[in-house]
Amino acid sequence: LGPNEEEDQGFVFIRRRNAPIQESIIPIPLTETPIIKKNQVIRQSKRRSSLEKRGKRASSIGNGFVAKPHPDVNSNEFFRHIQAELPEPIKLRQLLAWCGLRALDKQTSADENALKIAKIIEQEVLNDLIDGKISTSWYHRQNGHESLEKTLPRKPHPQNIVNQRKLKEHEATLQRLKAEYEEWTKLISEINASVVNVSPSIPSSEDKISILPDEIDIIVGGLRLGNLSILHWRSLSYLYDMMAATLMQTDVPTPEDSDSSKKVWLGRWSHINKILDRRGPFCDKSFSPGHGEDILLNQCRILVIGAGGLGCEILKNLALSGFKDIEVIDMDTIDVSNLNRQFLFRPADVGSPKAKVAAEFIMKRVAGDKDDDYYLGFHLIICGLDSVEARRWINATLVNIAQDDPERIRVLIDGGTEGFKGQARVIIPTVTSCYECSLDMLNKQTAFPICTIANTPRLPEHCIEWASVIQWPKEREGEKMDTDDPTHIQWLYDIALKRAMEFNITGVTYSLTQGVVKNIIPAIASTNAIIAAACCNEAFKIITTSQPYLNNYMMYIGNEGVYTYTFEHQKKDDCPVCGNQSAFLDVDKEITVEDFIELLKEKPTIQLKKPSLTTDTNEKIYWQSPPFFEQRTRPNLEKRLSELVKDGGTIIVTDSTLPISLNVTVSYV
Amino acid sequence: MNIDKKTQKYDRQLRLWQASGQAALENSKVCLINGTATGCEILKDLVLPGIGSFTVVDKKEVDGADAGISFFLDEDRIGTNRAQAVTELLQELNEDVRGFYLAEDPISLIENRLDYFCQFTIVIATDIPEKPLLKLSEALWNANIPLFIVRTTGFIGYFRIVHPEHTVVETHPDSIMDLRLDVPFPALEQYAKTFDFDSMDNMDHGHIPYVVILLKYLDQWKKDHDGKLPCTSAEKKQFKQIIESGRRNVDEENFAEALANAWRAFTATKVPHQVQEIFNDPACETLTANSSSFWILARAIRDFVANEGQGLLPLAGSVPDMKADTSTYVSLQTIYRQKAKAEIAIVRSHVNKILNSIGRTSDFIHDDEIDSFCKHAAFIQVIRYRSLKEEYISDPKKAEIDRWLQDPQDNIVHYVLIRAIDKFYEANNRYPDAATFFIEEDPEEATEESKSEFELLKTYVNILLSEWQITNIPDHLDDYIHEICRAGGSELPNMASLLGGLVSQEVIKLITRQYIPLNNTSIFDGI
Repeated sequence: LGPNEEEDQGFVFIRRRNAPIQESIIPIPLTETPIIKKNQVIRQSKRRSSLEKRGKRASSIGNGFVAKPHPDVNSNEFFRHIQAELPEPIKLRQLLAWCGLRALDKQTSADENALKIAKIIEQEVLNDLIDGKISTSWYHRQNGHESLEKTLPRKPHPQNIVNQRKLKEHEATLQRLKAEYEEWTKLISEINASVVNVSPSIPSSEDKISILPDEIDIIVGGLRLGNLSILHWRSLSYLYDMMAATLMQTDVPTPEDSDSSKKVWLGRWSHINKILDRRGPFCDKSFSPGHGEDILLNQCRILVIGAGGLGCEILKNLALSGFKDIEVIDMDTIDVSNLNRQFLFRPADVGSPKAKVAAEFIMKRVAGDKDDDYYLGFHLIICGLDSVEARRWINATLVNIAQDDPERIRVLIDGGTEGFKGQARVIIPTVTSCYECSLDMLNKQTAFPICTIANTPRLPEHCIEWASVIQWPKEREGEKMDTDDPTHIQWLYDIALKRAMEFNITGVTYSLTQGVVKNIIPAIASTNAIIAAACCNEAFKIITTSQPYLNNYMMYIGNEGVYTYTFEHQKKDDCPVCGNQSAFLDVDKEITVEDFIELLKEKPTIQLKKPSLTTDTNEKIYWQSPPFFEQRTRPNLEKRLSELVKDGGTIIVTDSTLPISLNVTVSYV
Repeated sequence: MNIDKKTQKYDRQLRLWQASGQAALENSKVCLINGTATGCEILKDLVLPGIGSFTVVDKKEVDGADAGISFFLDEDRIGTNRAQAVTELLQELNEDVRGFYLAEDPISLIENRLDYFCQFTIVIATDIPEKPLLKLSEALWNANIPLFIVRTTGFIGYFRIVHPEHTVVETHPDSIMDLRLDVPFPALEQYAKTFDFDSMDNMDHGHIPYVVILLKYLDQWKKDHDGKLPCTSAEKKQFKQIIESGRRNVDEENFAEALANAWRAFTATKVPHQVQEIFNDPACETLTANSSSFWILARAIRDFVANEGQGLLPLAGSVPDMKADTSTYVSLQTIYRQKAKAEIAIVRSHVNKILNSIGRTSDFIHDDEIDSFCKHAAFIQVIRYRSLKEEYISDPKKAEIDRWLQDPQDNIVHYVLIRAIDKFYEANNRYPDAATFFIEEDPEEATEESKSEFELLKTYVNILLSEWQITNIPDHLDDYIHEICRAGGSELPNMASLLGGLVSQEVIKLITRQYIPLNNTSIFDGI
C-alpha cells in the first residue's frame, strides 16, 4: 500500500481497479432520470438539427449582435431567430435593432435630402441601440413605472407556499413535541420519585431532555444552509451570494426576480459544455450530446444532507457544475450521535435511559417527519455527514423506499473523512451494497471500561474520562455539561490533571481533554475537498451519463503518499437493511437474553443501539419500548435464550433507533 | 483561559500536525502560477489551514469561461486581471493569511526574471507549457525549492513534485512499538523478575502487564532451548500453549493480550532495511558544514548503533496501553522512558562530536529535535525526486512506460496523453479540442475537421512513443485520444477541486515535514 512498489521506478499512480472501459455490470436503475425522459421525448420528435448549434456559435461573435435575418423573413417572425436562452433585455435589443434596420430599408420620400437626414438619425439611434447606449432593460426602469409595477399582481412562488405549509406543519409538530416533552418530563419525575435507589452517578434525566425544545426550533427552521462550518469555511457571505440563485432558501424570490438574477453570462458553461456537447468513448449509450446543461440547470433536483465541512464543499461543487435545484438539510440537529456524545464511553447500563429515549424520539419524529415522497422528490441524494447514525438512518430509509419497486430507487452518494483518510461511494438502494452492508469496515470506537477509569487509570484519557463521567455528575450535580463551553472544559482539565498527577500519569492537556470529551475527529480542508469532489463527480456523471460511474466504493488514504483503492463492495444477503436472508449466530446455550442483546450491540456487522426481540411466532422476547411492553418483557432478560427460542429458531430483531429489521437464526453450542 | 484563538480555530488540524507543523505553515510563502480553477482550489485548501502568504502570478484577463468554473471569480470580475481577482476572493477565506498578486505574464517572467520565483517556499505551476516549465524547474531545483506541476483536463488530473531531496522524521506511523521483548535490556529484565506469578492473588495476577507475562515465559523458554527464541511454527504454537496454561481463568484479559501479542516476542528487533539504506547513503557517510540536521542526526544514530546500541536503534521509549494496575503500568513506562532518555544522552554526545568536526556549534541541533529523531528512528524517510530534465529529456523511463502501457488497466496511458498534449500545444499553440467520437444514434457525425483533430493528436502521441522507442502501441490508446479531444483542455470544477485537495495535502506535507509525501507523479482518473 501507500507509495507502492512502483515508487522505485519513479512513479506512483493512483490506481483504479475498475478500468474505465469496463462496462458497469449493474444496469442503470434510474428509470426516470431526466436524461432518459429527455431522450424519450427527443426520439419521438424529429432529430435536433445541427444548424441550430452553428447559429449559436456564430451569435457569440462580436457584441452579441447577430446579423439581421434574410429579407424574406417577415418581421413578425423575427422573434423566432433570437436565441431563447438569452436574457430578456438582450432579446429586446436584438428585436428592436432588426426592426429598426428593416424600417431603415423601407423608408421612402420624395425629398431625398430629408430622407438622408432621417436615415442618418435613424442609423445613429440604431448604433446606440446596438452598442448598448440605449437601455433595453426593463429591470432598471425609471420611477414613473414603479406605480405600474405595484399594481401588477404577483403570483407567489410555489416554493413559498410549500414552505409556509411546511412551517405550519412543523409548528404543529413542535406543539405536539412540546406536549410530549411535558409528558415525558412528568413521567420521568414520577419514575425518579418512585425509584428510591437512584445512583448519584446518573445525571438528572430532566437535564438531558431539556436540550429538546432548542434543537427542534432549529429543525423547524427547516431547510437551511446549516452551520456552514465556521471552522472549514470562513467566507460565508460569499458562499451565500454565489448560490443565492441556485439554492432553495426559506424565502425564494418570485419568478420574475429569479430570472433577472439568474447569472448566465457568455461562456459561463463553456468548460462543462465541452463534455456535455460531445460524446466520449466511455459514455453510456443513453448519453445524448448537447442536452446536459438543460438537465443540470432545469430538471435535476439534488438533496444534500449535511452542511459541515464536507457539505460546504459539495454545495460549491454542485453549484459550479451547473446544478441549480439543490436542497440542503443539516441532520446534525437530529443526529443521535450528537446527543449520544454525552453518554459516550459510558457502560451501557449507566446513564439515563429516559434521555436516550428522548433522543430516539427526536430521531423518529423529526427524521421520520420527512416522508417517502420527500425523498422521492429528488433525483439524487448526497451525504456529507460526520455521523454514522445519521448515515445508517438515511441509508435504511432509502432502501426501504426502494424495496419492491425499482421506480422508487434513489441513488445515494456518501462521503466521509477522518484526518487524511476518506471514502466516497455510490449506493443504489437494493441493487448495490448499502451502508449497512459495510458496517464492519468502521473502526470500533475506543471505549474505556468503567473499572479502568475508576480504579486503574493508565492513560491521560482515563483521567479525563474520570473527570467527565464520574466527577462532573458528582461535584456539579444537576448541571448540564456543555462541551462547547470553555469554562467547562477547563474544569474537566483541572480535575483530570489533578488525578493524573496523583497517579504519576503524564500527558493530560487542555487540547486532549477537549478531544476526548467532544470525541473530536481531526479534519482538514484538503481531505474534505477530495472526498466532496469525488462525490460530486459521481453525481455529475450519473445525472448527465457523460461517463460511467463508480462501482461502488473508493477508499482514499493520504498520510503515506496518495493512495486510492476502488472496488465493488459486495452486497450482503444477510444485511439487516437490504438483505433478505437470516443472519446465523452461534451462541452459548447458557446465554441469557440480556447477554444476547449485548452481543447484538457488540457484533461489528450488526451494531444495534437498542434492539427489541420477537420470535418468528410473534412472541415478544424483549421490547425496549413502549414502556408498557418493556415492563412486561423485562423479566425475560434474565432468562436463558434457549428457554424462549428453540435451536435453529429465528428471532426478529428491530431497533427503535433505526428503521431496520433483522432476522437472526440462532444455533446453540 | 490557557487557549488562544488561533489554537481554537485550527484545533481540528493541530491534532494532525501539532504546533510545530502549524508554525512551519505560518512561515511559508506559496506561489501560484496562473489563477486557474485548479490553482485556486489548491490555494483555498492552503489558505484555510493558514499558510503565511500566497502570491498569484497571472496576466490573463478574466473571461466568462474562467468565471464559470472558479469559485473565486464572479461575473463582475470579467475583464479584470485574473491574479488580482482571485487574490482578493481567496484572501477573504482567512484573515491570518496575506495574499499578493503579480499581474505579469509568467512565461516572460520565467524568460527574464527567473530569480523572482526563488523567494518562495514552494511554487505551484498550472497551465505552463513544457519548455518554460523545464527552465523554471531547473532554477527551482538549484535553489532547493519544491515545484508542483499541476494539470487537469476533462476527467483527468495530473500532478508532479520536483525537488532534489525531502527528508522526514515525523512520519506518523500507526504505532511506534519498540518493546525489545527478544532482547530485554537489564532494567527491564530485572523488573520482570520481580513478579512471582504463583504467589499472586487473582486480582494481582489478572493485572500483570502482558509485557511482563511474555518476558517471563520467554525467559523460561530460552532457558529450556539453549537461549533460542521459538522459531518454527510448532514452537510458536507450543509457546502460546504455555502462556495459555498459565492463565487462571478465561476472564484474564492480560493473558488474552499476551497471546495476541506473542508474535512480537518471536520477532527479532533490528534496524529496518530502509533505515540501513539511509545509514549507507553517501550523504550520511560524508558530512560537511552544509549537511542538514537530518543527515547529522542520521549519522549520530548510525554511530550509536555501531557502538553503544550494539546493533540496535535507540529505544523509542513509549509503551502501549495494556491491562495493568496504575502503579505497575507507570513503573513499566518509567523503565522504558529512562532507558530511552539515557540513550538520547548518548546520541547527543555523538551529535556534538559530529558538529564539532564539521565546525558547527552544538546549538545547531536542539534537544527536542534529537528526542523526536530517536523516537522515530525506525521510521525516518528520505525521498529523492527525479528532475524534470531526467524525466523529459535525459532519462525517460522508457522500458517501464512500455510495460505499463500494455496493461489496459494502468493509468500510464493518461501520462502519455498529457505529455502528448504538451507537444500538441507547443506546435499549435492550442489544446486539442473537438468532438471526435460518434455512434449511430447521434444526430451529428464525424466531419473531416473532427477526424483530422483526432489524427493530429495521434501524430503527437506517436512522436512521443517513438522518442521512447515504444513500438508496440496498444489499441486502447485511441479511446483516450478521443477523450482528450472531447475534454478540449477544459477544467471541470469537480476535478479542479479534487486536485486542489490532493496537491494542497502534499504541499502541507512538504512544508510541515510531517507524513510521507508522494514520490513523484500522481494521476487521478475521474472517468
